[in-house]
This record gives sequence, C-alpha cells and structure tokens, in this order.
Amino acid sequence: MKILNRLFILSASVGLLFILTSCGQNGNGSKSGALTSSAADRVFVPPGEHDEFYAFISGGFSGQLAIHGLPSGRLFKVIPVFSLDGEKAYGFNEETKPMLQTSYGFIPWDDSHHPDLSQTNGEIDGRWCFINANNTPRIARISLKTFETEEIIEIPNSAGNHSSSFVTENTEYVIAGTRFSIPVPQKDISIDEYKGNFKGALSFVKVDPKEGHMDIAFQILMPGFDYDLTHPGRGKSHGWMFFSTYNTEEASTLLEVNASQNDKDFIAAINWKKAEEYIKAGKFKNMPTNYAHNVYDESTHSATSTMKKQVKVLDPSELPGLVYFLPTPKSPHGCDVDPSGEYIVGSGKLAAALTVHSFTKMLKAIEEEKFDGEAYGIPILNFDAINAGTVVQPGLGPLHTEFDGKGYAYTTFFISSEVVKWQLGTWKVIDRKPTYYSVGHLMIPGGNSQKPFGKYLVAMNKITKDRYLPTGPEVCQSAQLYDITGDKMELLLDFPTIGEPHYAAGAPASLIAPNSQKIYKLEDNKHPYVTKTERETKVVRKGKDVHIYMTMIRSHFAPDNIEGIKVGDRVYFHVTNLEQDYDVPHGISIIGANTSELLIMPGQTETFVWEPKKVGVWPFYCTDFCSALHQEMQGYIRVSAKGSSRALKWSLDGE
Amino acid sequence: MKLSKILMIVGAILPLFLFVFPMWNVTLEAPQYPEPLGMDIWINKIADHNPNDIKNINLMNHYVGMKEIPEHMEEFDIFPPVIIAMVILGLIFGIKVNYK
Repeated sequence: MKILNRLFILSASVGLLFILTSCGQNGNGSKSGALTSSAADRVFVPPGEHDEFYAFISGGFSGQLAIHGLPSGRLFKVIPVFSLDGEKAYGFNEETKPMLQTSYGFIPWDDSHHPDLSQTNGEIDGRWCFINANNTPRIARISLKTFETEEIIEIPNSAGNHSSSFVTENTEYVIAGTRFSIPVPQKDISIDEYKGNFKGALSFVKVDPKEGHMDIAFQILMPGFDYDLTHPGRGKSHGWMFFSTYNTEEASTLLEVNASQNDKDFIAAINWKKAEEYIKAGKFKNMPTNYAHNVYDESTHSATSTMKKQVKVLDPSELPGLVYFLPTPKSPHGCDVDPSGEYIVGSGKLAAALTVHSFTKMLKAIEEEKFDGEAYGIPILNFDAINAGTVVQPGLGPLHTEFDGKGYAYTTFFISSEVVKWQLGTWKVIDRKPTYYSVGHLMIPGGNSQKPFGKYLVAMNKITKDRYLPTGPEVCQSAQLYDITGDKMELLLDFPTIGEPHYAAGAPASLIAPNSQKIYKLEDNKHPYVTKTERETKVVRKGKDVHIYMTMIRSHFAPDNIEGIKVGDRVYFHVTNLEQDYDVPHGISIIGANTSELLIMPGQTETFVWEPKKVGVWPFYCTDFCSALHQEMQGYIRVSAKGSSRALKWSLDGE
Repeated sequence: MKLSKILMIVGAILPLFLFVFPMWNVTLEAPQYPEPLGMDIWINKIADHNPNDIKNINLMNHYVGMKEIPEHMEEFDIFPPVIIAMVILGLIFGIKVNYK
C-alpha cells in the first residue's frame, strides 16, 4: 500500500512537472490555445455585423487605396486613384481618363504612399481622404461619401513626392514635399553640379473648406536635401510643419554611403503662418511651370483636366523666420508630432536612440537665437537647446511613431522587426512586440490628429515570407493588428493587404458610415450624354462617330438591337443606369472592345468607345450579375462593311 | 352638450385625418431588402414610403409578369369629395339633429 502511495505521488509529481514545463514553454512566446482563442474573439465580427473602424491603407505600388475594416482586417473596396482599374473602368472610360492626365501626358500607374484624413479643429472629420503619388508627384482627394477619387493635382518642381500628403489641423493645407531634389526649374546641367544647384520644393496645397478643391498656394524652395516625411504641428504648434531630411551631404551618387556621412541631419521646421504673411506681403516670385489639375464632377459623372501655368515660390534664405533646422541624428525617416503638439519625434534610421524635440524649447531657442551656424541662410538651432529627451536603446532602425492619446508613443523598428511602446516625458520603454516581418509604417486610428483612438494599432510590414500559404516567389503583402488597450501590446491578427502597405489612416466607422452614399439621383444627372428614360434612347451618327444613347435597367438594355454600324466607325456607348435602388449596378462590354467594361452605379452615366474591326453581328451583355434575369440582359450590334449604305436602326422588342 | 352629440361631431371630423395620413401602408420585406420597400396609399395618391420604392416594387413585380402600379386611379378623384361630403353631413347631423 505504501509503495503504491509513493508510486502515485511520484507519478503525480512527474505529471505536475510536465504541466509546469509546458506552461513555461507557452510563456516563452509560442501561442497557448487559450490566448489564441481570446484573440480570435476580439477580431471576430459575426456575419452581418460591422467593424468598429475603417482603415484606409495605401496600395503602395498598386497606386490605389484599400479600405479595410478593423478589427476584422476584411477588405471592402479598392479605390482606384493613380492606376488604371479595369474592374471599375477607372482611366478606361471617357469620363475618368482626364483624372490620370499630367504634364507628362496620360500616366496609367503610380506608387501611392501616405493616406491622411481631413480634420476640423484638430480632429478627423470623416469628409475626405488624401493620398500622394510618389513617382509622378500628385495629390489625390477621395470623397468619403462616394468613396471615389474626386480630384488629383499634380505637384510641379517636385520629384519623388514622398513627404506627402499630410493634413493640417483644420485641413487648411495638404502638404507635399519632394524627396528628390532637382534643378528648379529643370535644365540640362551636369549631375556633378548637384550641390547648391538642386532644390527641394515643399508645396502647400490649399483645400477649399466646402468642396475640398485643391490649389497650390505656394512652394518653399529649400536646399537640395531629401525631404523624407512630414507632420503638422497641432494645438500649440499649429501653424508649423516639420519635415525630416536626409542627404544633407547633397550627394548624387551611392547615397547609401555618401548620404550617411553627417552625424546629424535636420528636421526642417516651417512656419507656414509666416509663409502666409510673406505671401500677403508680396515677398514671393511667380514661377512659370506646367501642372495638371483634374477634377471629377459628381453631377456630370465626368472629369476635366486643366493645365495650370504658374506657382508662387518663397525663398527661405531671403525670408527670415520662415524655416529653422533642428539637428537630428542619422538620416531621420519618420517625423511625428504627438497629440499635444509639444513633442517632435525624429527617427534616425541609423541611430541607436530616438530623438525627441520640444516645441516650447524650439520657440525659446529661436527667441534667444541659440544657433549653431546656418545652412543656405537657414539657422540651425542648437541641439541641446531644443532636445526634450532621448529614448535610449529602443531598438534597431526606427522608422515611424504614432500615439495613443494616453501619453504613450509606439515606434516601429525595421531592422529589429518590432513595435516598441514608450512613454512621453519619461522616455522609458514600456513594452516591445515582434512584427512579422520588418515593419514600416504603423497606424492608430486618428493618429495624425489631436484625438487618436488608442484601441488598435496596425503595423504594416515590408516582408511576410512564411506567414501565409506561399504563392510563388511573390508572396502577399501584410499588416498586423495589435490591441493596445493594456500595458502590454497584444498581437491579434495578421491580414493581407494590396500592393505594399505604406501608411494608413483610420477612423471610427460611426464617423463615416452614416454618410456613405447609396445611389446617384437620376434627376441630378447632368452628364452631356445622359438618357433618363427608355423613350429618349437613340443612335446618332456624326461622320465616323456613332453615339449610342443607351439605358440599362433590370433586365435589359435599351436599345438592344442596333444596325447600321460600319467597320471603321468609332462607336460611343453612353450608358445610363436607370436603377434607383441600392446596390444594383449594371456592367457592359462588347466582344473585341479594346478597353475595359463599364461598371455603372444606379443613376450614373458612363461611356466606352468601341471600334468594330470585323463585319458581323456582335453581342454585348451585362457584366455584373444584377437580377434573376441577368443572363437575359444582352443585345446585338450588326456591323456592315466599310462604305455600306445601311442606315442606322435601333430597337427594343421591335419598337 | 350631450355626450352623444360630442361623439357624433368628433366622429364626423375623424375622417379628415385621411388628408394628413395615408390610409394604408404596404411593406414588402425580403432578406436582400434590409430596408423594406414600402407604399403609402393615400386618399388621393400612391406614394413612395422611401424615395424610389414604387419604382423598385414595379421592377420586382416585372419578374412575375405583374402590371405596373398605376400612378393615377379613378378612386383618387372620387374619394376626397366623398369624404368631405361625409364629414359635412356628419357635422350637420351632429349639430342640428335632436334625438328624442
């Protein structure tokens, strides 16, 4: 009996030991079942229910903007902005082709980087989302009512439009800074002449408070550094804009070495209220240039492109008080301002510490003229006089910082692949969590505002490797969702994104969802080729151009039989969707069309061009499964030989 | 005034509400219509409950071969004078007539 007892105790303690060991293993990073299921609960949005936040995630080299829900990570829509989209006919139909016009002609692609939301009184207001095109510099404005790109303005004198498109506290301006300095105006000079001859243009794009229309108010022509990122001052620092710079060495070749020489580069602090004063006082030059301004009109469902010829330019070397340089170690990338507007965080990519500048100290240093020399006539402030603090050894390769509004900052580290939480004021590291892998930007909804919604953090990664099922050499792009409500961050979810997710912007769904438009009112449609009833449908020939005024409604086109088209004609299908019901789009395309389908929302008119090349009878059909009789929604066009005398004839059901 | 008289007068006035509210509401519900389609039938017209509802009901009815809901019916011309006449008669009876 005693032996049995001992055996029992022995086996029990072995069992206990085993349990303890396995607990220990769980604690060392691998996920325990309990933790995983609770994370699943927190990101699970039951069927039919809605997410708590919208996330507008840049499509990177896709040129578009993706809308996801948080916390689920589900993808709702990809808004075409800077690249063609055959699904929505963006850039393919006659109405949106002007949106992609530039001073270089029609450009079908770009690299979209930093979405930012409009603000009123320092808080996001849910009206517009702005995003920049990096390659051929442009800023786009997207309506958060229709979720369509409404306006694109080209930025002249700029190249690598990277320190963009950040919005000031009352959406006074959207800022667009150049990453690459270039000769301004452009001219044929030796690249060796970079130093002193190349300039960096920082553009202040005025936003009309009612309609949101954009106009370049002025540009500040800065020394030939690389202007990497920017954030606006807020609260007490409202009226200032802070730009990180690298390549203050002004190298033009092998920048990885030659632009990493200086111990400190700068954060450029721009006093844009001062700039407004100088503009008012006439201290600007009008520089002739050429840039496109493209506007989509919701009532005509059409875009127009106009070329602008002039821009106002300010020279900071001649205008005291306009710009100051804040020395910041080691090629800073992110330049982030905390919700109070006091702290400016510079993330020196190659530095072992995070540098935080104080706005109050900066003003004092300016007042007391604590300068350490100047660069191109711009005062360089004394580092110690403006430094608020340093986060010591936070990680490797700091890139970007966001804030939770509760006194904490979260910085991404590319090289050590982690997000680090630290405290403003004490500069102490509170927590760190790995990312998978090599995180770039991060986003807390309301991040670039006085009022962040510090519940979730989205980390956007540059590398995913083994995180998802493999899809050949090119694997998916990815973001990760962290819960930041507790002391410790918790990784909740991986979710795929489109393109390379650079920055993102987030907002509570309650701010945006109620304004989302359901249909376009047919009675408000002012498209020049609109057809509002089936009785008004017609086909009109003007020489070789044939205009079909067509309508679509469940489940037919009118007209759906057309004769008298000839090889060599240019046939314009002007198609109006007569539906006035939510979520009843129709599509249309015809065999052999050298363009995309049209996907037409209720009440909208769109146009595509078809140039028939072969004699015969050719079908067209509805491309969006619209109704129970969708398969019946089709029609025919008879194409006769070139020079045929067949007259135009069109009908629906013989009428 | 006698209670029966008051009741008669009030009763005679009540049909006037037909000029303020619809007399009948038809609501069509379906899973893909989280906001149901609705028709308000008034004394002199049929109206959308929400904008475009009748147009959308007609589109649905079209699948099953139904005629469009008419914009005008004879009853709309007849109802209002009839109701007004009834109200006037009712008031006359209420005020003038004495029951013994």
